[in-house]
Amino acid sequence: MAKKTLEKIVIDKGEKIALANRAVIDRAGALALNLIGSPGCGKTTLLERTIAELHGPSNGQPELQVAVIEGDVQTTFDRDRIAAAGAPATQIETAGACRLDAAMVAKALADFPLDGVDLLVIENVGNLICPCGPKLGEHLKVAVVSTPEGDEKPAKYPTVFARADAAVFTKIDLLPHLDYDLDRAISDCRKINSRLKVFALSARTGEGVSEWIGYLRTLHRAQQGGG
Amino acid sequence: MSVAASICESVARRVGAAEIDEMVVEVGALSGLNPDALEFCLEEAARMQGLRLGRFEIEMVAGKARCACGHVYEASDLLAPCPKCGGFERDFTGGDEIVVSRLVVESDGEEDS
Repeated sequence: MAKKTLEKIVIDKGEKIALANRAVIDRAGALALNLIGSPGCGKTTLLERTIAELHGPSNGQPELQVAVIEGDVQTTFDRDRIAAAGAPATQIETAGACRLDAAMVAKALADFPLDGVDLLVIENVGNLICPCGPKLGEHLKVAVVSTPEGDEKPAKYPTVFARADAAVFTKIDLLPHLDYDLDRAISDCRKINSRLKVFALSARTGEGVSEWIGYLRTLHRAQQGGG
Repeated sequence: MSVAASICESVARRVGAAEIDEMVVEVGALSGLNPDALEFCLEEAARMQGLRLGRFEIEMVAGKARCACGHVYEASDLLAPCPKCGGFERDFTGGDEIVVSRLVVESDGEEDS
């Protein structure tokens, strides 16, 4: 038997499926965010607050229609929370996988109509590391990190901040009770990614929420205007 | 593990069930992949894919960064500033690729070297 050297292969890490997902989302005219953060950092609470702000009073026409794809290892708790907040939601249970991938999202999208949806949020499995890899078809990645986790988290887990378009620091109402240096955390984020948009808020008290909502409005307008 | 599976699927698609004599996988230093974990997973993924994997190696490849000052340099640390101007206004332009850069198989056909 002879030996044969073959040409190199660039590994496709799910980009093709992610592009197909993106096409489905773009056809619906929605803006898609991939929300990444540790378990318990407040991703779902941030979404509940975001839905309340963008949907307004339950009897009125929403300013922006939000829909959510929830990713968790197990249970439909988060889907139920989002549905209770008034937004269409579907749940991916990954059965052990530590992050969503494009194929899982493709399957969810197949049964989840996006008609009339302005903002599609894909809430990834709670994890600050693994979800950084796979592209899902989102337009933007948003890192969510809470103050009780400690102010060294951006420096310790830089990849998510390097790849994210925005970072949201949550639970700032707890700052008086914590030894947390918000300036240090934000400055580390900016060292990793000088383009990162940074928000600091409390979904519970509402402090800082309007800046975050303003950002979403701006993104949506830019998408409607720029195609 | 899913990266290892993707690698083995791509390789199997290229070579069929051929015996792989030698394989080199280049991993970008900013990819977030741990080479030891990938090595372990590759052996398992090859077995699951029915590939006979001989000698293989994982090579880490430095990432690239382009600073606002114009300096282009090799980067392996997301927190390190531009070595020329000390600033942080830089874009990471590479370092998350995974490439099977060398693949030598046993072949019935002609020898190539």
